[in-house]
Order: sequence, then C-alpha cells, then structure tokens
Amino acid sequence: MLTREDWLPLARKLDWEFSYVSEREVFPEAVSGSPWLEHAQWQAWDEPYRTSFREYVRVQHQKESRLAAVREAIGRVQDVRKLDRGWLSAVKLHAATFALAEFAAVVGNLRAARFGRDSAWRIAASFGALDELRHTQLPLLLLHDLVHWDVQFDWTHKFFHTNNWVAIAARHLVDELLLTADPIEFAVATHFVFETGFTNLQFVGLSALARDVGDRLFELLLQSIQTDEARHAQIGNPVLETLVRVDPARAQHLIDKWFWRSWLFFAVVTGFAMDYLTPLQHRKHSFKQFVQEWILTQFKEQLLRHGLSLPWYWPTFLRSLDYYHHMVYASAYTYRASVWFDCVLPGPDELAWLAAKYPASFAELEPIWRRVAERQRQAGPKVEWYTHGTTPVTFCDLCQLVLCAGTPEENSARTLLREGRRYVFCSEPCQWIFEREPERYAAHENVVGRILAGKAPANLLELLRSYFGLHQDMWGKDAARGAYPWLESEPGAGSPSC
Amino acid sequence: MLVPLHGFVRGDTVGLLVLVHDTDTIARLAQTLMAAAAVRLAPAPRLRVYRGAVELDPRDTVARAGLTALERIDLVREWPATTGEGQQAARPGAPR
Repeated sequence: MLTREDWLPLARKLDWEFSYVSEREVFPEAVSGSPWLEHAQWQAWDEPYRTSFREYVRVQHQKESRLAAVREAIGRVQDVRKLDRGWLSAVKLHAATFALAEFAAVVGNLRAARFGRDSAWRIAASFGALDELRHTQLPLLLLHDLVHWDVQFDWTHKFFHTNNWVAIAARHLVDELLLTADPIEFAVATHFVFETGFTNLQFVGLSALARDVGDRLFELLLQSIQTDEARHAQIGNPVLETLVRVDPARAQHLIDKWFWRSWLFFAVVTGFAMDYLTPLQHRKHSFKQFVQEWILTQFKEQLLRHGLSLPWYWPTFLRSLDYYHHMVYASAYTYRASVWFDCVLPGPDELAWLAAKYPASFAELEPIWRRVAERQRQAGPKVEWYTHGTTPVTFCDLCQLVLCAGTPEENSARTLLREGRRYVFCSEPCQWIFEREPERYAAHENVVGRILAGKAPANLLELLRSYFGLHQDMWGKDAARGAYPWLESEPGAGSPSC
Repeated sequence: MLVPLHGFVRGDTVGLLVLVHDTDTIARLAQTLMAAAAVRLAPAPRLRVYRGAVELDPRDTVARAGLTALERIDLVREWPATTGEGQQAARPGAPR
C-alpha cells in the first residue's frame, strides 16, 4: 500500500495537457483571471498544509464535536443572558456581517476550485469552499438560534437580505470581493489581504476579548473558524508570488485597492467591538494597538517580502487609525435606530481610557460625547430621540459607508463630477479606487441616491421601517436605555459649553 | 426647487444630507445644517458657510450662490474669542 508521502504529491499535482481543447478554452481569461499564463508558469504553485481529503474530514469532525460539546454545556439562553449587553451588541454586529458573507466566500472558493490554474490550488480552494460553508453554518446555528430570546439576533441571517445601509455597504464589498472576483484577484484580495492581513484582528484579538468577558462560546467559534482560515489563507501567497513575478503593477494595484476596502470594513466591525462595546474592565489593548501588532508589523513584513510597496495612501491609513472608527461610532450612536444592535454611550471612565489610548485624536472627539451625554442627562432614562439624529446622513459612492473619514476638524469627503453625475467619496483612496475602474462602480446608487431617485423614503422613520428592514422592537437603542449611574452622579460629564 | 447638499459641520463626525430651497438664504442653510448636527454639536452665535475655499454671503440665496445638487458645503461655528468653544473662534480663511 502506498504511503501518504507516495500518493499525496501525485494526487495534489494532477495536471495534464489537453488534447482536444486548448488550455485557454479550459481556463478562459475572463473567468480564470488576468494575466493569463500557461500552466507552466503556475506549476510550482504550492502551499504548506498539503491536506488530504481524509485528513480534512477527520480534523473538521473533531472541531465540530468540540463546538457541539461546548454549545451543549454553555450555549443556552440562560448562559448568554449573563453576558454584558454591550458585548452582546458586538456579537450581533459580527454575526450579521460575517455569516452570509462567508457563504459568498463559498462561491469565490468554488470558482477557484474550477478555474484556479494549478491542481494543488484547486484542491486547496475546494477545502476553502467547505470551510466557508462551515463558517456560514456555525453562526447561524449558534447565534441565530438566540432569536427566540432576542430578536436582534435575527439579523445573523436577515442582514444581507435587507437594504439596511450597513448591508448595502457590506454587499458592495462582498459582491466584488467574493462573488465576482476572478480566482487571481480573489486569492490576492481575500486570502492575502482580507484573511492574512486582517482576520487575525477577529480571530486572535476579538477571541481573546471574548474569553475575558466570559463568552466562551463566541471565543471557541472564532478559534474554530481561525484554524480553517489559517489553512486556506495560504492560497494567497503563491498566487501573489506569481503575479508579482509577471505583473508587479497589477499586484500592487490589487493590494492597494483591497487593503483600503478591507480596512474600512474591519475598522467598523472590529473597531466598534474593541473600543466601545467591550466592557471597559475587560479591555487591555485598544483597536489601534491590535492593528499595530497584527497589521503594521506582520502584514507589512509580508508585503515587503513579496517585493511590494506599502499602499500609496499609507500616511492616510496611519492617520485614520486615530480617527475613523471613532467618527463612525459617534455617528452610529446618534443614528443607532438605523442598525440592529444596541450602542453604548461612553462615560467618563471610558472617555479617559480612550483619551489615554488615542492621545493624538481624542481631544477632538470628546466634546461630541460630552454633548450627547448632556442631552441624555436632560432627557432622562428611556428617552432615545433626544440623542438621536433625524436628518439623513450621506454615504460614500465607493465604500457605501457614511462620510466619516478624515478628522472632525477636516472631513476628507470629496466630490467628483463625471458624465453629468456628481459622486461623493469619503476619502482620497475611495475616489482613487473608483476612478481606476469607473465602469465597475459608476452605476451603483448609494442610499442618498436612492432617496433622491424616489426609490427609498426620505423620511427617516419610514426609511428605517420600510427600507432598512427595522422596526421598533429590533432597531438599535442605547444599551443601558440611558440609565447610566455616572449620568446621575457626575453632572460634569456633560458640559453645557459643548 | 429643492437642492440636496452634502453638509459638513466643522467638529462633527459625519456628513449630512441637507435639503434646501434654491430661494433659501445661505444664513437659513447654515441654520438648517446646524440644527441637523445639534445632537452632537452645540450651536454657535455665528455660522459661516464655505463652498471650497470661498465663504458664501449669508444674504445670498442658494441659487445666487450657484450651489447645485450634491455639492459639498462646510459650516464653521464661531464664538466670540472669550466664550464657549473659543478654539474655533476668529478663524480666518476657508475650512482646512
């Protein structure tokens, strides 16, 4: 009988020459990706895991059994309801934005499983597709199930099927990243940038926070997913290596484009969780510190090892570490009924922590929180509307997120008049991405465009109900319903001068 | 005619969609935008509106100022130098 070492290399590298069709017909450039290269250019493709199907099934079965046991032990509603409400909001945010996005990643992986240019790549992508299917099912099983207790968990499944503004932004990203990208772009964008570059924020940083707050189930969920991600993220390196060799300019473009798009996504999803929704006593590091450790150090090294440069907007990115997620969160708090999770109003202790962690920026942000806190004090507990905006906000024509880039003193939004239509972008990188491929993005309408075209209601309440898919029971509220002890005991928390 | 504008108040965190009539004055536009941001920012005694680097005359109408749909405008709040958010007072020139 053959040993593993005898048969696996042959099974993984089972490519052959075609006799009755050309290689270009089997792997058309439109689907397989650019630049189109003969297989000889790809045949050195390899990744370190070299898993067999038998090994894959055995290991995945072990992971499933472990999660099932933990769910049985601590996954019931009575266990979850003990958790901090702010933390649960972080879980709801993640559950909604990731569950069906992972399902879209199944499609991206399956395209590579057919049109990837080397058999080892196609096999690794097949496992990647199975991984992503699992990553869809796990949050649906473990978190959507909580809908019986808390209707906001319905968004674990519902989110991508709505026209909620966050969902529009997420679809704009995910459709391009996971559903339509060819295998080369998919490998660079998803495996190298999104998974290698950013998901450690989730699977290592957020997982550690989950442990600290006592959410063992979410911790294990993230860790279980991470072990899959670590494997299939390896698809990115050998694809990027070949791309850099034959077309370094395209490689750099893909890095620059997807790093920015991924950054905005993670800044919102993970930034909120780490700096605002995790209870203060459980925070050790700020979101910025996690980014510095996992992106600035590790991802940067990988980029340079491939002979690539840092994205051209690196100084803008570094500056946004101090501002972007703070600006989006303050905006989201004052429009919290437009999302499906509750928001925490940071009190004096939280503001002091944020000021210590973000000395370069928080002096500009603190007056906003003092103003909101003062209004909350005046309104009293259970009154939401006095600290809630009523005028529609505006959205970027590339990332579809609110125009919150730059600083409070200098919002970096910019407009572009193109073929009779005026576009608006939150930042220079978003405009740059748009202008590199306008045919890809120009027809898409952001929420404001839909309102002005009569496709979505202009009245905010009607917009929330009939377009964003929210109703009063499920839309976001203040996590403490405005009843913060510090609001009663520390009148100085909100200065009249704010 | 209604004119939708992208409004930004200095010190705020997000852009706002402001709907004004082309017959409205710039002063009224400033009040509308300030009211929209009031949940996060305190109003100020003096409001200046900028289109790019150019300050708009508060007596002009939106039409006479030449503002068209979905342009960006910026609002700067000003206090007398000795009161309130004095760091934003007496600010010469256009939004940075």
